[in-house]
Amino acid sequence: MSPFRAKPALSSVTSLWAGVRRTLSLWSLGLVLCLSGGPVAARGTIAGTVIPNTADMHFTVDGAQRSIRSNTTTTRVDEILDVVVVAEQAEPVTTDSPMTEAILSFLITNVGNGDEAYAIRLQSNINEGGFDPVSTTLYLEQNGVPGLQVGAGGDLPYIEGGTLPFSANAQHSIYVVAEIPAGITSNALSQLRLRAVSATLFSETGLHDPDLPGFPLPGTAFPLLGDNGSTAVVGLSHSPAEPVFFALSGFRIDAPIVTIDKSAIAVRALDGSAAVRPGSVVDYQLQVVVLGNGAVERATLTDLLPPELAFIAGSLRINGSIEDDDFEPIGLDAGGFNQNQGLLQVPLGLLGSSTGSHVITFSATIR
Amino acid sequence: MLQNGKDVAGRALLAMVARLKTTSVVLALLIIAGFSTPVLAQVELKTTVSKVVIETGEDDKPVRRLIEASNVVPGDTLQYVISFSNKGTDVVDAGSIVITNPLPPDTVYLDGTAQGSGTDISFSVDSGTTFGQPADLKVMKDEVQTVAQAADYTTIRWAFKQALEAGKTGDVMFSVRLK
Repeated sequence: MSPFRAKPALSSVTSLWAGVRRTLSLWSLGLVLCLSGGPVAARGTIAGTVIPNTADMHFTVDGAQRSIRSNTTTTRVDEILDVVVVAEQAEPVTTDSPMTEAILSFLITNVGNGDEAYAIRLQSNINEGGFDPVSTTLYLEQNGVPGLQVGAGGDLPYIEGGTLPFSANAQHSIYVVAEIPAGITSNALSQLRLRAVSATLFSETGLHDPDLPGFPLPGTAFPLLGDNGSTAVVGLSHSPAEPVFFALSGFRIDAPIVTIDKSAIAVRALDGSAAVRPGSVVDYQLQVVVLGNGAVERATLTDLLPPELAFIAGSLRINGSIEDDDFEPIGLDAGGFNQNQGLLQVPLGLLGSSTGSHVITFSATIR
Repeated sequence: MLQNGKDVAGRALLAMVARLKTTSVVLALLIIAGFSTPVLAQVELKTTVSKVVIETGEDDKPVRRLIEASNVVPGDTLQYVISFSNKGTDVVDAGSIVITNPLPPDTVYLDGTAQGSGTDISFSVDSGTTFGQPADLKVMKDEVQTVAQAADYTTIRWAFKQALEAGKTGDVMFSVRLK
């Protein structure tokens, strides 16, 4: 399996944007307008723009024509600090456990009306009952080729803590490459949160985590810190009720987990007791169960018997049915007991959660 | 040469005096004219701008309030008021007052917000070349002529029916949304 999963289909991205639009429509006409023309449209008048207004008046006095002009009002447009982060996968990305490179992608758009630098921050330890990746690395889409390409001519590693400049309406794609730990059960989830934190906001508050007290609310103003001498104003993307300056996504383990439960179900000594001693016969049971989604192909159960045990010919049963003892290449199938190696081998074929459990029994004599 | 030089100097002095007399007469005429008719400054025109905010009032009803337009961002509503006053002694002729206001750049007129007591209000979609009532204004969209919408307006015009007596004032207003 390639470590790089396919990027999500365009339709899923589109539907996600539709969801974002619906959410935003509840907040403000301004943001709706900014998103109504496609995935992202221009937010509005550029910050720092001065809006003038002047009126003219014409009249006559005793028939004599006069014209006068009013004063000119000027209104400077402030800078809205607004950014939208969207996970480009609507559902958690399925992955194996372990996996060295599982990938998420996010799209970050400056929907404010000015140039702003944003620091990209990833939070990967927010899982409750799930798992955390072993490590994560961020990449910035750089080469214009969709998807992550690493190496010469590829996308650029992004070091957290640095800032990315965004002109008004600019977009950047960020990839998160995560190492998935081993031994995670199927369907376990890992959640990651990618934030785009305004450099202006951070420089004035020292805060980049919306969960911390004092994180500025929409409408918080930073005089003179906007473009062209305007005031910078925290935008509605930072609304505590509907924040969109960060996005959640994650991974879901989709590897089937095969469990084998081996037990000695009976001991029969020569004197009829259950004493464990040389000459006693032990009945063993192996139960094979597949947990989680997916399937295992060409599964084969092997059990290496210790030299203290002697396999009893004709005792092998698979799901209650007698299985011959012959072992390839001598026998008719691949199952059986290899006397030379002391190895029990049973082909099980396709295993999945829907195939139920397999029960293998055999008996051995204690030497 | 000396005698000739005195003659030249004397003629130049006489010419200068003649020019001063002419200038004085012109200045005097201008002063007289100024006292006999209203000067332009006697009718004043002033515009002000406010930001419109909607707040929740009693009974959770929305209340429209005007505040200083100091923090304005795209999507905000601005209200402009144009005030005029006759500070002279003469009457401004009835039916002669026409105020025009090109809509501020980067704004969109909000339909129905143009007001002015005792005025006929008309709009232009061609930067003030022609004016008309909303139903009569046409624009081309996708090569089809259609009735103009508020967003198509470029200029507003108020025409007063009444005279403006000395000492009287009036105002008109309109609102826009900042793009």
